[in-house]
Amino acid sequence: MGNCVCSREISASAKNSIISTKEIERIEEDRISHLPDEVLGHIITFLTLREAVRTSALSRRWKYVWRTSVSDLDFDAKNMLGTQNHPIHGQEITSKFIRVVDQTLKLLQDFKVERFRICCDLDNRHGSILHRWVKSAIISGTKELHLDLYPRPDYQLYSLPSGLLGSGKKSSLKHLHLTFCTLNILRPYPSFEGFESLTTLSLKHVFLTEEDVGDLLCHCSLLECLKLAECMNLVILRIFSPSLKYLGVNELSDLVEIKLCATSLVTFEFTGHMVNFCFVNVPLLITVMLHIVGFNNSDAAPIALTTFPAHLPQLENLVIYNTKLYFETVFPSESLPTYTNLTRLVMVAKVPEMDFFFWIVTFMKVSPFLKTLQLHLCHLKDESETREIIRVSNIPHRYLKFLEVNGFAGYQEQIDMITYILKNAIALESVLIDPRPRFYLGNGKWKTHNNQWFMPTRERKRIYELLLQEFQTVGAQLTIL
Amino acid sequence: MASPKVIVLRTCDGETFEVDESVVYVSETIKNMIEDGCGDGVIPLPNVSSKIFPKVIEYCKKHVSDFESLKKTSNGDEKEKDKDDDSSKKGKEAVPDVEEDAEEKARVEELKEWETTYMDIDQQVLFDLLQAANYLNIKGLLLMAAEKAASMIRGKTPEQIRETFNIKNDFTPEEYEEVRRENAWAFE
Repeated sequence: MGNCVCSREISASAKNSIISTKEIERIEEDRISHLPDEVLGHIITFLTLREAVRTSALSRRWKYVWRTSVSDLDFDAKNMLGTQNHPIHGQEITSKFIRVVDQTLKLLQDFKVERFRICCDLDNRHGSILHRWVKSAIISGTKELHLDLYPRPDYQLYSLPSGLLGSGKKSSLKHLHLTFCTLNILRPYPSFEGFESLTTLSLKHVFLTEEDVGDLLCHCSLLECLKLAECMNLVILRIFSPSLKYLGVNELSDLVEIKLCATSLVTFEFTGHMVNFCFVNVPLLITVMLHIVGFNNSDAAPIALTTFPAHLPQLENLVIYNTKLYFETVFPSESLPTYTNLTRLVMVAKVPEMDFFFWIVTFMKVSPFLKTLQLHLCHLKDESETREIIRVSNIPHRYLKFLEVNGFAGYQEQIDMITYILKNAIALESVLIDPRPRFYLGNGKWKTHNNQWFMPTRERKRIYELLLQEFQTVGAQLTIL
Repeated sequence: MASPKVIVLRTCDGETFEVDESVVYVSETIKNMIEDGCGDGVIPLPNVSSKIFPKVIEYCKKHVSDFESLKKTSNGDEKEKDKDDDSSKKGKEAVPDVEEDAEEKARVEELKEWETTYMDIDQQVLFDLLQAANYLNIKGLLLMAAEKAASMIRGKTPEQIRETFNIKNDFTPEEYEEVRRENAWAFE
């Protein structure tokens, strides 16, 4: 009580002295505390859990506000207890984390929690604790549950009993994200209570059998988004789901084949080594992202050019990571099928410019109705000296309207590439060139890398003038960021 | 549709303002009043001053297009609000530049710049805005202002927060100890 009066006296006298900008900001009365609870609640939702809890010490008025307005409980050991980036902590910190979560949950007993996340290096030894937390979250009506656990080398993963999610009277769980856990599906009578309302399921490094996948899809009849990452043991992934709209598969190391029979599927994103793709029944699949990794000879581009047009004639949007060099003799571009519906193509280069260029040209040739072309450059050095010069003839493209180039650094090869497109895309309306690289986050979202990449104004002007000459359409717009 | 209708509104200090219907529709409160039939006369706004009202209208004008395309659904679309389930923390950390293509990208950039300028305000205006946005039920504006207020709380000790906002610490020493003890981890 004493300190507040004191500070006011000091500031009163300070007011008579030189007024700094900080002083001008300060106001006489405590307006913030007079705001209604719901407004304060909105303010608190923008704070981390730790900051929100600290508001309880401001004054009597603030003591309980945080409890009613925290709807996102993100218990992240890294953020909460001040340990920096490395997720593996000492035993002491883990114990502290457990205490903190328990204490906080106790204070929030009666309030509704929309999102509940635990991020800590907990494992099988903490099974009963985690069971308890999951139960609390479910009972409080949480819609989104994340268990992001990190493995300690010697211990087994936490095993989540599939029936635990059905602890509440009526399941309101919509989104479930598990990392480094095991899903304990007791057979022969597995319980999938709590899964029926799921619309999103994300499993990262969760051990699954093919039977598990089948059962999950069967019981998650409202599932719209499924993400599987690093789940070993799956050899054939059979996706049979009438409700699924988005499927993301990321590095399933044992995978050999994917069978898709999903009548509502719109987007399919795949990162990993090459597998056999069976598009059994995906009439609405219009967006595909393909990123083939690994040291064998496979690459997304050849597959997308040879087999996809026949199996996915309805494809409209394609995101391709280009990892293979282009050899005309090995990959003749003469007899390729045409993409009749492809309107948007995004190509990410992981090969030297020259190869990337030939792939771009090939894609443009087989996609006559392409409207948007987005390129992500990376300027890799071309190691070989002996590659033959491949001539590229000018093939006008009558539909391409928008060109976007990211990661542009002004190298001659990059300029040549863009010039070729400008010359041949006779319907081009707008070109956007951004020196900043962008990273794909998944599901159509990109993150721009904001730091450091910029082009000096003179350079920008030079390239602008150079490229402007090549425009075929009058009134087309060229923007260089 | 007929020519844009103009709505007359009167703030608590007696001033009247004439604003296009589509612009005031951004406020759920006003929208409901108009739909209840008050749109022909003068709409009273007893909780809004003439000082803050123009600032609110400035926001509404900027966000009219969002609402036009949404027709008459409930409180509009916030571009910042992620659809991504993985990293969303509702603005707690810096909102990532998530955008789809060139046109969207340019639009998002421009809006961000506008918002930065718009929110370059002092505490008095901020609190006026919070109260007005709450009363007029303009969710986007309320959240934007709330985020700004949160940024003034972030990273400060309770003492510093009290100083910023002139909050009086009315705890007894025992009460204060208890509060800090209850959630000791947050105060370390």
